[in-house]
Amino acid sequence: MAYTDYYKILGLSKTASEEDIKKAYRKLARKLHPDLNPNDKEAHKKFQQINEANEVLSDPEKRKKYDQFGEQYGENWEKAEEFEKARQSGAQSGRRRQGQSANPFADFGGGEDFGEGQYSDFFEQMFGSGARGSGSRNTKFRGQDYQTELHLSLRDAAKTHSQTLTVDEKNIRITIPGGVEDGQVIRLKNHGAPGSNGGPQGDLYITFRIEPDPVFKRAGNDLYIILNLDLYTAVLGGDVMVDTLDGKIKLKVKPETQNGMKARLKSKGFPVYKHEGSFGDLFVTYNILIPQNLTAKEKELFTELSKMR
Amino acid sequence: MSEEIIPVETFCSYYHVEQTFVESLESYGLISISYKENQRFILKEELTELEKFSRMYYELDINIPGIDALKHLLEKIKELQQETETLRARLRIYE
Repeated sequence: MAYTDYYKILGLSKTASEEDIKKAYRKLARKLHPDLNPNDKEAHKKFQQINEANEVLSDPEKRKKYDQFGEQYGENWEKAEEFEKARQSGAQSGRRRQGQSANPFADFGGGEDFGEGQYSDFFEQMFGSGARGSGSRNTKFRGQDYQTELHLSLRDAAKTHSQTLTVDEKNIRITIPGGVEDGQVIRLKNHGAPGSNGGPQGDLYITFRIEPDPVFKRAGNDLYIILNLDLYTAVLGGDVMVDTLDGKIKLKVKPETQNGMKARLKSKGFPVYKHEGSFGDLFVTYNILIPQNLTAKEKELFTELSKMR
Repeated sequence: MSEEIIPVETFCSYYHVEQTFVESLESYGLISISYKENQRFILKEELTELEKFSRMYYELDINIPGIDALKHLLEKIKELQQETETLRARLRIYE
């Protein structure tokens, strides 16, 4: 039931003329239009708001109704007249209850749905409203393209899976192929805003954002991991377990492995996008840990070792 | 091949825009028009840009020189965004 102040959205006073409204809308539209603000969700949202404000205030009839009922009925102002009529007829037939609810629509038990979605048609008319309002031209435009981001963990990005996105209250199920990259964009045709005056629907562009992983770093299709190695295995060699995307595998450490040395595990990296069965490599960087809190015996042995070099 | 091009007249009549508008865009180098047997065509791959320019011109009252300037700025923004993403990805390796 929140009241949306369309005048405030357009930066106008309530006495603004039709010309003032037109000018204010044009000015803001030039600043916030999605074509001029790619990937800017905030601008996109504000653009929808100014469109909605313009849709109402540029139509004398709607504006009159909004001025009359807007503050009292909040987002349901368009239905206020119906409500007023129903209330009057209710009063005449003696059915009117004592005391009004804070919600003026509380009296409509099981009636029309006055909930959210009142303005869905505004968005549909994003580009058509001006043309219709002024009656000057009947330009047929393709609907605006939508841009959205989809955040995935690195491990989710590594496997082909389905996800459901909600765009404009519609659920869209998409299959994400394993191997998508951070910043990669896919286009879903005809999932953008509806066209105006019979124009075709826009497209939906999804930008993937891959969240950093605490274990693996990714560079292209290769993965990098740091493996802590105890001094004795580094010096003498041995087997250690190392994490991969498919779980742990055994890695043979060569004797006399130096700190910072890398081992390459072929095809244990990230899947190659849309190349089933192809994978990048996994690079393991050794981080050798020096023993701490040595016992007297250990110190003695290390001293003895040092004297041998 | 015929699917890849759209006659200028067809575009203008479908979108209700003047042919002079499309011609002006071409003269500013914003789109290219191909000529075949005395008919002018728009490349299908340029359709999205052409629609965008139409919205700028008719809905936002931006003139052709303004569209030209915006096109360059938007390309610059896109390049910078891509560069930022690449640098961010590289940085993550060292984090």
